[in-house]
Amino acid sequence: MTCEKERSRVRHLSGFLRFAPTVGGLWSPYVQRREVSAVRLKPVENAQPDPVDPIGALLAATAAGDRDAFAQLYDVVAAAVHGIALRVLRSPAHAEEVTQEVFLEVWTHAARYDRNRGSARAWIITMAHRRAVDRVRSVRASQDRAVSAGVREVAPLPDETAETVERRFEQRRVRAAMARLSEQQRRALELSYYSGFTHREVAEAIDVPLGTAKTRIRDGMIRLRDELGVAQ
Amino acid sequence: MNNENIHDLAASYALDALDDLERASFERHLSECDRCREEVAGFSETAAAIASGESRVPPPELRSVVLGQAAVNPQLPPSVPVQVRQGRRWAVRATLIGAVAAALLAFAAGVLWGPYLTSSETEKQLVAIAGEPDARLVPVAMQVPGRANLLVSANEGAGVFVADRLEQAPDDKVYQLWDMAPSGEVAPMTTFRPDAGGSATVEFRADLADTAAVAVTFEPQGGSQQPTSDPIAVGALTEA
Repeated sequence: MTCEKERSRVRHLSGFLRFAPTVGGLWSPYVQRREVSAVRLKPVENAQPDPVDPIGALLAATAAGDRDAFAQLYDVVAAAVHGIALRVLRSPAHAEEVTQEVFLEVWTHAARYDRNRGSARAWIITMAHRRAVDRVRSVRASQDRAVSAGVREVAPLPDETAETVERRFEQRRVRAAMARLSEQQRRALELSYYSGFTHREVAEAIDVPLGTAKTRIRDGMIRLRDELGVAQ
Repeated sequence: MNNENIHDLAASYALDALDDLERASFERHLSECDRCREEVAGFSETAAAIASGESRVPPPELRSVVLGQAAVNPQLPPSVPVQVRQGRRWAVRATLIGAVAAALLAFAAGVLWGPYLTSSETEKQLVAIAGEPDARLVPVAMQVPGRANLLVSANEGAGVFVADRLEQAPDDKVYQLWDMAPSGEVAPMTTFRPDAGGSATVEFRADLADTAAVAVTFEPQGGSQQPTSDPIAVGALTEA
């Protein structure tokens, strides 16, 4: 192991000559890399509207600094973001904070969205759910943590008038698909997605081995994915 | 966690049902598994659909708070800029913080992968370098399998070479870092071996103000005073 504090340049001709023929080769990958990064920096790539994903188009415009597009994006996805945060956190104050944080992240990170990894909507909802879960876990960890108390919290929230027909339709469709899961699968999905339980906590809460909990989560998600006709 | 069934965690991951360590190790796995990436994409869409079923319109005043945030907060660029430019320093810093966070996550994941723990000294060094105003993240062009970046600061007179997906060095060889001056002079630096998972986090000290590139070669065990083979990876710190 040699780790020189002082820079002691070794200028042996043989050493230099060994490197010299490859210097062109040394630099060419660098030149190539700079071209690649130039392409990645081009805002056009992200700004291309996606005809099948209107949220993606708004996100692309947001990435280009368009605040009107960002406002429209908020109008389209805020209810889903706030809704899932509220469902997980059960606290309007926490849910509003998470919603605010998520949209700040959407604004600052819009250019980092890669549509090859999924829809813009899923990107934003994933962010919201992750933040809500991280928060509910840290709140739970700081409280007297009784898993049973968490389980009791799964009681559904009172229904609220959904303000668009479209949204009401989507809710009905998802609830219908959830209803077609087995009771065990639905329970496992609700505990993990709505209550922010890890699969280990799900296993404890419903008193089954970890492997069983994992399988119920996985099978439930596969079935739901197929029921909802989500593109794979 | 068993590597045999790590593929089965895509649904739990998409539901955020993994604990922090599992999440970090699964994310590391995701970077190498196309099948799991596809599954996660499908499950994330499914989870997003579940969320849509729970839509609740937030209070109207939140909208102006959110739009107000957008008015005062700058946006990040799409990818890591190669050079620190005037007026963009904040973006580079934010990126570096992200890089350090990723590195720290990788350390957390390392706990799961067993004995090849990165020393906390290296971790401290990484944080110290990232804290310097002239810190830069430089991609390394690889001619062998693997991905690598350099985090360097001339102020600190130090850098960290962070790599993953590296292959083990050939028999009786080690990887060695070299400090290359613009003239082509080379000075030997640290030798290293990637861990069992192909990752390496190697700190080095160098007067980076006079460094054109950091190169990597395979050398006999113990390292060499001058390179005995052609470079297999180069991170260029200056414009060609």
